This record gives sequence, structure tokens and C-alpha cells, in this order.
Amino acid sequence: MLPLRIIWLLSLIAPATFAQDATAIIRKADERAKGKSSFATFTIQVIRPNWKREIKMKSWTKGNDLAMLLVTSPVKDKGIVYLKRKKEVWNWIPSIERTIKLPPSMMSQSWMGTDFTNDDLVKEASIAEDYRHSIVGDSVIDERDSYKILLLPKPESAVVWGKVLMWVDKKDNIIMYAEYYDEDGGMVNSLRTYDIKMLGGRLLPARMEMIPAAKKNNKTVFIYNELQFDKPIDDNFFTSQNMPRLQ
Amino acid sequence: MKPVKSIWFFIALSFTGISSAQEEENKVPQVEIKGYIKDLQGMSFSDNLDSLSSINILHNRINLKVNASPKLSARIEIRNRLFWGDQVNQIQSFSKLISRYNGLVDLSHIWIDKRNLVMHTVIDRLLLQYQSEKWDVKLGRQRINWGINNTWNPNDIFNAYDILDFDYEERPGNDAIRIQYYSPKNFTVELACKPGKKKDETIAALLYKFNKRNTDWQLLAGIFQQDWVLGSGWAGNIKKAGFKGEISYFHPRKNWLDTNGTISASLMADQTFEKEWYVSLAVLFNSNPQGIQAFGGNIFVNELSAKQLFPYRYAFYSGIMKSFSPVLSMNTSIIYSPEKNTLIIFPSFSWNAAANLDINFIAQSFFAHTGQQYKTLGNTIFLRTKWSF
Repeated sequence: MLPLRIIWLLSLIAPATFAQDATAIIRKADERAKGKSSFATFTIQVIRPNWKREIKMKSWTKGNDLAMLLVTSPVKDKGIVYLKRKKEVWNWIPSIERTIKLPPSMMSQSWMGTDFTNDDLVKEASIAEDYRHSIVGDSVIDERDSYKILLLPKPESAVVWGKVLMWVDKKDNIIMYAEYYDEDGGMVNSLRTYDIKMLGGRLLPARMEMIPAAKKNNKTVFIYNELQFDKPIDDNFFTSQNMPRLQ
Repeated sequence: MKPVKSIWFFIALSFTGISSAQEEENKVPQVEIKGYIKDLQGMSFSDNLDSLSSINILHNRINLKVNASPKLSARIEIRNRLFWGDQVNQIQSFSKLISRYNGLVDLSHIWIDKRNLVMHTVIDRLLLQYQSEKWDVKLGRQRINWGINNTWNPNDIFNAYDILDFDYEERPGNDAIRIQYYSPKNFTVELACKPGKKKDETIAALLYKFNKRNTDWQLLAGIFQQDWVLGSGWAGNIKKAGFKGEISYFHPRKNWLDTNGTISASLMADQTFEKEWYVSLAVLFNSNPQGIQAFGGNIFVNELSAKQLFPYRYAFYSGIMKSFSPVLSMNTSIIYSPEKNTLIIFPSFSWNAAANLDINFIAQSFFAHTGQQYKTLGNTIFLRTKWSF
């Protein structure tokens, strides 16, 4: 594997038009899954060699800055809420009836023990804004012709990954597969998407699997049960006083 | 147990609104029931194992919420506990100790009070709640939690939290009224009042909360029993670490010119690290410590308040948590006070054995100088099994 600096250097000398195309593709792929606002219900399955756990959640998002997550299952965690406003994150814990502000370092850590980080869920980093993009190849995944795109973090952005590779469907701009690398160039996770269908009026994968590279037989599966886009949500919905009220 | 009748009245009242609620909000269930059953086995000993004594608690909690309409709801939460073992017998007036409450109405009952078997029920939440976009009003027995820090909360003037009492995270309720106003300009004003049976037991205060420069801020002022209270707290960060603080100043209302006040203040910082490590550090200061006698002479039967969270002037806390997997974690808390070199070590292991089944292993050890000697004051190990429904 090429040292990270060389990859970065290569991305600098890549033709400008090419880079712009790659950024446009990533932006379209990103916007497809996000919308101006969204509401979703989903299931997360944590699968380990000896056990399996399932978490059910609801989420509301608006742009990149506002997000709310409500745990609906298992019963012992039911009613726990996470709120994100720009760079700040709060956690409502119903059993102690209190909101706790989380330290910023928690964003880059594993979320509730899954293979997703907090950042993946509340999307602090934007794959479109916080990285430079370049097309580095083509492949066919699930019979879909896809671009292979290299994402390198912009020097000023505080992102978790040292490098990301994404395979994006050429026709519908759907992320088919992705690989996440740490700052030393080692692969940490790979993301595979399945079950592409109409969700909230858009063609999207209903099932995603995050597989840690270093751990055998471990994975986290993310399944959309319901998804709606661009339903208006007031900014005041995303406040700490609203956290205990979510149903 | 007269007050029980009034609970059914509350519930009946709430049901009258159900048919209209169904049309307005078809997704929200009208009645939500959840709770848990816990079994706690404890074993205490000091230096020599002759002093071995046991305590067993079978514990059930039922939380019931009735949503009469999107704006009106009622809650009742019941805590049932069955105690047996040596300590039930050894601790004087055990049943009185577990059932004491200084609120307006007595919502507890002791069903069995034998030498080594006690059964106790308490209703620790019983409230009606009205909520609109800008207002939230709660009337009845409730938790009013104004704390910010994880460990010590000088701003939590309604029911201060004892971190050693790990088996009651919900905390007792207050018979109180709480009115919250949420401004669309992103600040909150709150008035809470917990009338005491006697004049000097009342707690009533105003709280003002806002967010500025990526930090939550709060200011509070009011009456705390025999004192005036002024307080402030914040929750922000320094780089990647969380940085929070709370300070409260208590001043006697009687002869206030000739008396000195008490400052209770705490600071904390916390940060997560790679490989699922989490570290939190805290310090507590009290300008007018009351010593161990004010705490019933016993550091592990703490009757504490926001004014007196620890018997001594300074206390330091460090907590280190490590998650080995989503279902297995370890936490070690250490509390130290220079006074008599008081040291409390509080390790715990948590294992989520099945989706709704948690098993915890917990230990608490206390050390301090007594007389000429540095001694173990006591150790307790607990095994807890919790099934949630």
C-alpha cells in the first residue's frame, strides 16, 4: 500500500475536472441518502461470533447540523435520546430523568458498542465537504457499473478516517461499497450495501453491513424499516427540552 | 394507605381523554408499562471474615404512564422490595431506615416487618403532566434533577445523588410543582417548589438555562430549607474533553448579617479514548464540612443534600471505564479525601447476558484513619441480576 502522503500527493496532481466530477458524484450520493430533512425508523443488529443484539431506533435529521435519535428497543434502553446540534451532543437518560452533555471525543468512538461510530450516525463529518475526491477506477458491483472514488480528508477538517474508498453506482449515484482506512493506511471497516429499493421516494439500499477488518465474524447490520424525506421539521424540534417528549 | 385512592382517581381522570387522543395521535400508545425485577445479593465484611454478614434484596419496579392526550399525561411508578439476611436483623430499626421520607404525603407501606424479613412498597412517582410547545407543568411526586456533573451535583438542590447508592438510579421523588417555560429563543426558565411539612423544610427556586459559545449554562436562586441559595453551573468542553462545573452558595435566612454561608462546588472533566476507554475526573469542595457525624456517623449510609455532598472539605474522584464489547464493561471509581486519608474503591463489572438480562458484579471498600491506625472500615461485594420488561 502506498504511504498516505503519496496518495495525497497523487490526489493533488489529478486533473481538476476529474476531481470536480468525483466531488459531484459524492455530493449526489450523499444528498440522496440525506435530503434536506429526514425521518427514519431502523434496526441495528450487532453480530459477534457468540452472540447477537438488536437495537431499534427512530431518527430525525435536518441538514448536517441537526439530528435526534430515539431508542425504541430493547426495553431497558427505551426512551434514551441523542441530540446533535452542530458540534454539540446531548444524551437524555429517562431512568435518571436527566440530560448529559457528551464530551466531543465521544463522537469518534464506537456507538453503543456497534461497528458504527457516533460520527457515522449523527454524521458530523460530511463525505462531500470534509474530503477531496478523485476517481481512481471502475468496477461492477451487484451488476451495477460503479466508479471507484478516493476520499482524502481536507487538511483543516477533523475527520475520523485517514482515507476512504467508495464505489458509487454510475447511473443512480448509490454507494455500493466503501472501505475506511485509519491514518496509518490500515483498513478499519468495510461497508457493503444491499437490497436496493424505493425508500422515501428514492432508490436506496435498505440494508447496510459494516464489517470490521480486524475482527473475524463480527459485523453490524443497519436496516431501514421506514424512511421519509423533506418533510418540514422546525429547528425547535432539535432542542434538549424536546428530548424527553419524543415518542 | 389512603393516598392509593387518589392514584386511581388520577388514572380514571386521565382515561376520560383517551377517545379524542386516539384520533389526534394514533402512534403514541395510551398506556405504557415497563419496569424490571432485580435480585441483589450482598456480602459485607471488615478486616476479619468473622464479621461476614449478608443482605438480599428482591426488587421490582413498575413504571406506568397514561397518555390521556398529546398534552396531558399521568405517571405512577412503584418500587417494591423484599429484604432478608443478617443485615436486616443487625441494622437497628431497619424498616424505618428504608421507609423514611420527608415529603408531604406518605406513599409507602411496610407489608412485612419481621426480624429478618422486611417487605416495603413505595410510590416514588405520582404526577400529572401538562405539556405544550412552550410550557411543561408537572404536579405531584416527581424527580427534579438540576445536576450537570456525573459525580457530585451542588446544583441538584431537590434531590442530591449519592454515587455509592448504585441500586437506586431513579432516586426518590419530591412532592412538588414544577413549571418550565421553553422560549423559542433557546432559553428555559423553570420554577420548582417542594413545600415542606414544616416551614423550614421548603425548597423553592428559579432556574434559568441557556446555551452560549457551545456551552450550556444555568443560574439558580431560591430558598433551600433554612437558607437562601444561589447557584450556577455549566457544561462545555476544552478541546476533546468535556468540562463541567457546578457551584452553589447557601446562606442562612435567619440573622443573615451575622452568619456565614456554605459553598458547595464541583468541577469535572471527562474524555473518551481509543479502544473504548472512558476517563472522568472530579473534585468537590465544601467550605463548611460537617464531618462524619452529620452523615449518621457512617460514610456508607449517606443522607446527603446539595449543601453537604460529602463529609469533608475536599473530595477527589476518578472513574475509569472500559468496554470490552457491547455486552461487557468494567468501571472503577475511586474517591479520596485528604481528611483521615479516606478512600473508597468502587469497582464494577457489567455483563448484558441476554437482550433484557443484565448481570453486575460490584464491590465497595472503605478505608480511613481511625485513631492511630489506618483501617479497612468495611467491604461489600454485590451480585445483581436484572431482568427488564
